[in-house]
Amino acid sequence: MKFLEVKNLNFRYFQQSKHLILDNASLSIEQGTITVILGSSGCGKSTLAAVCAGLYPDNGGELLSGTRTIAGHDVDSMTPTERSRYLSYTFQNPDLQFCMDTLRKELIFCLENHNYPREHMENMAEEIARRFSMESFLDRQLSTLSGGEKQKAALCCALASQPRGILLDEPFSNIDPQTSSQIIDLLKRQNQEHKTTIIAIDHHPEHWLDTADEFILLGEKGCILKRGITKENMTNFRELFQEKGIVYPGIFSSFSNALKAGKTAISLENVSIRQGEKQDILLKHLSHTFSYGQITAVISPSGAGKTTLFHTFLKQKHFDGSIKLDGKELKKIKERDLFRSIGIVFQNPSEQFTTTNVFTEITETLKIWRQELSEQERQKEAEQLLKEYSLWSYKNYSPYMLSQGQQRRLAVLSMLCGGQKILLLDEPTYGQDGRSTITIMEQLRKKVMFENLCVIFSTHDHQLANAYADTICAIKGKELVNVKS
Amino acid sequence: MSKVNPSIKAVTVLICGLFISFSYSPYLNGYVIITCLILMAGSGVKWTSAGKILIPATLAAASLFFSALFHTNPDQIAASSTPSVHNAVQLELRIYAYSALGMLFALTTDSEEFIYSLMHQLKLPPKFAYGVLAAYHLLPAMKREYASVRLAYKIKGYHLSPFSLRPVFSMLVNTMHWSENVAMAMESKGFDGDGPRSYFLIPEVRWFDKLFFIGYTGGTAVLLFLFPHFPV
Repeated sequence: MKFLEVKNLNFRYFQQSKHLILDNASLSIEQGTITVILGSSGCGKSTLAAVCAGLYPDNGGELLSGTRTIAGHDVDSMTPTERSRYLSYTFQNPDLQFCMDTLRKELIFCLENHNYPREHMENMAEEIARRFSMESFLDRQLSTLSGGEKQKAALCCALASQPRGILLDEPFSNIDPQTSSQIIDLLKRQNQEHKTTIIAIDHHPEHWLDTADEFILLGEKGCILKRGITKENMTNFRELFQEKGIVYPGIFSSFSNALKAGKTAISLENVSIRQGEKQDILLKHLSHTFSYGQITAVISPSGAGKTTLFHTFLKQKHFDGSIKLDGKELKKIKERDLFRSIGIVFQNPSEQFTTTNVFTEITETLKIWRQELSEQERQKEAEQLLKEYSLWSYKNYSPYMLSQGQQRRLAVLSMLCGGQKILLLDEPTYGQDGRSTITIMEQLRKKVMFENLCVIFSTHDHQLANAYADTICAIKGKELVNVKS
Repeated sequence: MSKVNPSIKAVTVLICGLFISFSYSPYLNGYVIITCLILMAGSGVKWTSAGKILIPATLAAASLFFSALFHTNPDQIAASSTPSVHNAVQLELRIYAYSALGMLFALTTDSEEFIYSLMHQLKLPPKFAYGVLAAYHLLPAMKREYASVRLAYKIKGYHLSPFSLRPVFSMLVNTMHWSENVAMAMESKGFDGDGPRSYFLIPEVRWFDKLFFIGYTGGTAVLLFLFPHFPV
């Protein structure tokens, strides 16, 4: 039996826009299967999913034509409550899925929505949490959970309505591989025990190799390019995957000629860092050097303190011990001088734009750091830089309207255009497809080679680290250890 | 006091506030201040947080005191200086009475419980109530967001004063995105503002809620009629 069937969807976000996000998109999924939808950034897969689940056009956009049925029922004729009994949805960003502060309250909120009898609510909430081994998190503040725990909590909530199917929008974009495979095991069990249909959107097929019944590859505007892909026949589609920018398992082939270390950029001596002033020590006795002319990867599971480590380099955290930057004691460097030599790209680059226009984003930064340039020279310089990063055609866009990959490139550019020599990248793969990641890393590699930068990036993707880093260190427990040098 | 139904408490506080604004009696103000302090003491309020609220209240009270003292009708001052002192004391006490009422409510009420109670006792639509709850729970995330946006500005070399509004703008752009996202997440969990729903926590109005309402508003009303004016 068909679980989900949508036909000839035409959808756009703005009434005035001629650009369709979904152009004649159709999709059908069998009841009780596990399906993974792959596609490059901006191909409309999230939109397709949200339209299938009925979240659009109710919450924005315009559906020009098309039919949608879930388990034989017309999506338009159902209320949100009825819909969520057939198909529930989890979002990419686990921070923005909850309206209560603890999992217990959130689960009760979900049960209330379905008019669940009051006497049994508490038991039911505990039962759902037990299924995902989340009992001990029921009363913890959701904002204090790690990315993986939040995603598990979101899954619990999605299953509270006992839906026949569940749609996951990039569930693992910010979760380390161990936690991802744990969650996939739980989903598989749910699928086997309750015949729940599972549809997931992902950039990385390898998470799902042993679990998925079928992979579907989307082309442009939500249209299916290829379906019926399985673990067994995937090798036949290797070229197609690469052409579409999907991370084919093992795509980052590691290269042998690592760059030689230059001068020392940052050196740590017996450094201990606390999360907050009164909190426990997060990282201790760190002794390490980061060099110019190299890319260094810091591998760690989510929540182990890599962002804290980066913020320490930026003088935003208290630490004991000694950190030296270009041989100078970090504690003695003034903030303004510090930021002349070190820049950071956040995990979520949309947090770091300071203007509403791509072009001014660069000219403003040039104005601050390179005052010797005249207005004309600045404009020329900005044009050249934007062209170099293939962002010139977007010069009049708002940075917030760029795709995730473009946003990250713009953030890198505006961090480096002041002549900073050290660049920290927090989770550069977050929220983007393989192709955008490769573009960024290759651009950076060139810059490192020719301009002798020191680039440090954090990731939980070992393959990415192996492919692009000259040296790799890992946070294990509370310490920083060398993995490859 | 934290056991009293929040809606009843809110209505009581509002009515007493109205009474004070229509009176000109330091006795009534004094009565409100003292009873509020006693009730707060009885419910184990943290006095440090009360102190924090009193700092701006004291500033406001002092400014009103001095403006009333020096800028009352000059004819009256010529006749005698006492009415203007009385006037100033009465206005100052009134500010303190307002803040005492406010503190009594704010420091003994759980905000979530208040929202639930508004839904059940004062018929606030669930769509609105849960929207407020969701926004309230996003506050820690907004705080984090603000910190990282400020950091971004600093790293880019901007000079920011602590009151600079530029990072607030960037933050709001992002939070607008969030609100959409959270609203969709709520809907995907089956939340429907108008449909039937059950409730796990239903705040009730019990006998002591009614007693508190009648007793407190009654007491204030009696004083209002007994001493409507400043006794000279």
